[in-house]
Amino acid sequence: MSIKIESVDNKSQYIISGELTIYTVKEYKDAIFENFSIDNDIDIDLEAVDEVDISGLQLLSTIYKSLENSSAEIKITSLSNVVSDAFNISNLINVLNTENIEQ
Amino acid sequence: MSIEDTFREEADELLIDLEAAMLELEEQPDDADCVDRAFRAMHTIKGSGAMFGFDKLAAFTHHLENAFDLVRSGDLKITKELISISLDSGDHIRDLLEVKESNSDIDQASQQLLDRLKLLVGTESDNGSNSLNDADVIIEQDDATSEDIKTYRINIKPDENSFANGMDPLPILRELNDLGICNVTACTDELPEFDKYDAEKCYLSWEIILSTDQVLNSIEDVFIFVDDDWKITIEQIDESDNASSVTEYNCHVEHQDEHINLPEKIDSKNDDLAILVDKQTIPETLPIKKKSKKQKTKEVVNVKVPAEKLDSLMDLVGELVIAQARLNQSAGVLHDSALTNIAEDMERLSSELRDNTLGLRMLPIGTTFSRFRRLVRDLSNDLGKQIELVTEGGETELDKTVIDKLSDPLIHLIRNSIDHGIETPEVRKASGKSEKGTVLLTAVHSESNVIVTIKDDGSGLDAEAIREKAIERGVITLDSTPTPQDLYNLIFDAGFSTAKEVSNISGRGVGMDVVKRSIEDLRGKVSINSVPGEGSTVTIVLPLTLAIIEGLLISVSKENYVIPLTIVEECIELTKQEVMQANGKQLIEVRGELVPYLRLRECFSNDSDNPDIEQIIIVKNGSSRFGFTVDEVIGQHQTVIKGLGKMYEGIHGVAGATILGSGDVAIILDAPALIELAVTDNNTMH
Repeated sequence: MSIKIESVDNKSQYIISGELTIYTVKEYKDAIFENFSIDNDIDIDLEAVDEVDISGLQLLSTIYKSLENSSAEIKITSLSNVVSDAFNISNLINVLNTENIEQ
Repeated sequence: MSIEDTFREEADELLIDLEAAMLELEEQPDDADCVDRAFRAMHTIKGSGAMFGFDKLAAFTHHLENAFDLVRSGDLKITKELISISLDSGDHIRDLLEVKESNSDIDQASQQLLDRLKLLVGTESDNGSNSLNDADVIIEQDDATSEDIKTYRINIKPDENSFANGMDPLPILRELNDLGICNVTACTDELPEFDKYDAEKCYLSWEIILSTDQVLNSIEDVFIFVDDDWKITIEQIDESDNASSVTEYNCHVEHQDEHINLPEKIDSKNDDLAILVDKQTIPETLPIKKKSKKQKTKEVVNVKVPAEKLDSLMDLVGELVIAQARLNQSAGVLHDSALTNIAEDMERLSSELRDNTLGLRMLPIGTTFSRFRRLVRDLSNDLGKQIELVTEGGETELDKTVIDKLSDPLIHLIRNSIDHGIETPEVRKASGKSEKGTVLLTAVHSESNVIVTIKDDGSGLDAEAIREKAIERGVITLDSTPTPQDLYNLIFDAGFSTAKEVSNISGRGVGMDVVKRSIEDLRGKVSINSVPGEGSTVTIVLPLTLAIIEGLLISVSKENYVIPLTIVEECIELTKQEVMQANGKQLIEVRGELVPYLRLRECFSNDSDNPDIEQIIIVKNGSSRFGFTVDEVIGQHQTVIKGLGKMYEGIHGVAGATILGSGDVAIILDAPALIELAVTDNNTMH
């Protein structure tokens, strides 16, 4: 489990790997919050996430919702099957701006 | 204990229940209650299995459950083959519980059982495929477009703290998805701004429209492990809307397995859903809350505690009892009345605590008994015998450790009864008995013991064969004349088997000695009696508990000993004069009855002189009485039994040791063994 945050100019990239569950979510949230600004564009890479639960999805949803009225762009650049499956089953996919998911 | 272990444990209980139901069905194939019980057990195993990631297990059990659903609806009859498949499947599910991952042996076994089931159920009633693929389970349900499909609206609002409590809604949503055609809408309105967001709280809720052929109970079962604080409602939606809703949701489900790349479709579907939700009237709600309340009361009645916790509680109580003894000792020395009062109160409390703790460890022996039904059934089928197992006194309680360790010896004894004891139907008929043999398993309380007997109405032991074998093995000499009873008990000696054929069930002569040793390890005794032609009875006498006993503390020239109080009958004085009158024989007359006695001083090779007045402790030894002379009777003592360690574990006549309040060690006497020792010595002397 790890989160890597890279910020260049007005754009941040979060690379999350391993477990995105209740056991790690607080740590990730704190790390993201430190860097968070509603004016920054965000790319999220979930390719290497192999375990996710609703608390993990809720974190991503909250970030999305927080940027809803901002001009900043947020997108998930890639995601693992596990995450995609969980988003579908929980219907939280609707929170995401699905056009911004790059396959 | 991990949640998976909890599931394994529960599944194991359900499997035992399933097995019991099957065996009852074998007797009474029309018993609808039993069918229901079996169905419920399978259903719960399947549901919880899927929830905890035992996918293979869930998929396998699903097919079995389907078969029993057919039985419930009257489309399938209970047959011997179905029961046999179900019992084998129960065993197989136990294997599946152990291995979560794929394993070709297990898969093959699953497939074989399913093939048998398929053959029995027939292809029509089984909705096609019987393959193991998990996805098939879902597809099958989707295909089930019968008129029975009902649509439910389910609202789930997890408790705010549910993540922290370890409850993730995702498996629940997944399970609902498996029940039928499911359209899930997540409500994210309560999600706060990022700066106010607490990552460990749950802000989400869901509304699910589920079209399923499953009954309401199955949906409620999904929430069986959910906390009471979740708000869950399940309501059935007006049936007239069914047709349209089913198709709408179908298309959603079709896309569920695809990746998230269809934004427009999802949006349009959401619109559809919005319309649908508006259209639907809200009929009476069926709050699940009520049900979970009921379950809660049930939970309070029984609290599940790991056995280790009880063991450590028992250890602590043991230590407390020893500390209590020290307190008593100090209070006695200090002559402080206030301290003495406290010590007395403490003593009363600690002895109540001890009794309560011991009570916690008591389990009805019947839990072990029910496992033997299956054994008897399988063995009698294998051997072509007709045997009925009758059990009595299943409610008799015994210490859990004793029950656990008793299972293997009992299995061995029952096997012996079935294999050697009970004859084939033809032989039985020829000797004028009924074709069906009986193995009677009973348990009764008797003082501080539990007596378990295994009685069969078979041919009985062959005393002559045992005699020959004993002579051959040099255990007895040609001219000795042991009683039949003594001969019978020789079968508990190592390597002693008179079975004419060695079978995979018994006859190798290993076992009876192991049985004896296991029972002696439990401080119990085992003996056998037999009437030729009428059967044999094995009697096992077990102590109620292994941890703390009431003892009588005695001393011989400052050495302390404890005799279990339960066998002590009385204490009397023995004067030098009485010893002289007996002409060197160690006998004393107690109210007209001559009682032999033994000097503990001599037993333990203590060289000090006998005092002028000795005390004799009279103990029961079976039907006779026996005495032990000691210097002083100190009094009743709560005795925490401690092992003597590896060095001294083999000593005859010593059951263990205990630590006294003064810190001294007292030996706990195994009176029956001491008496036996004395009797044998006496015999050899003559």
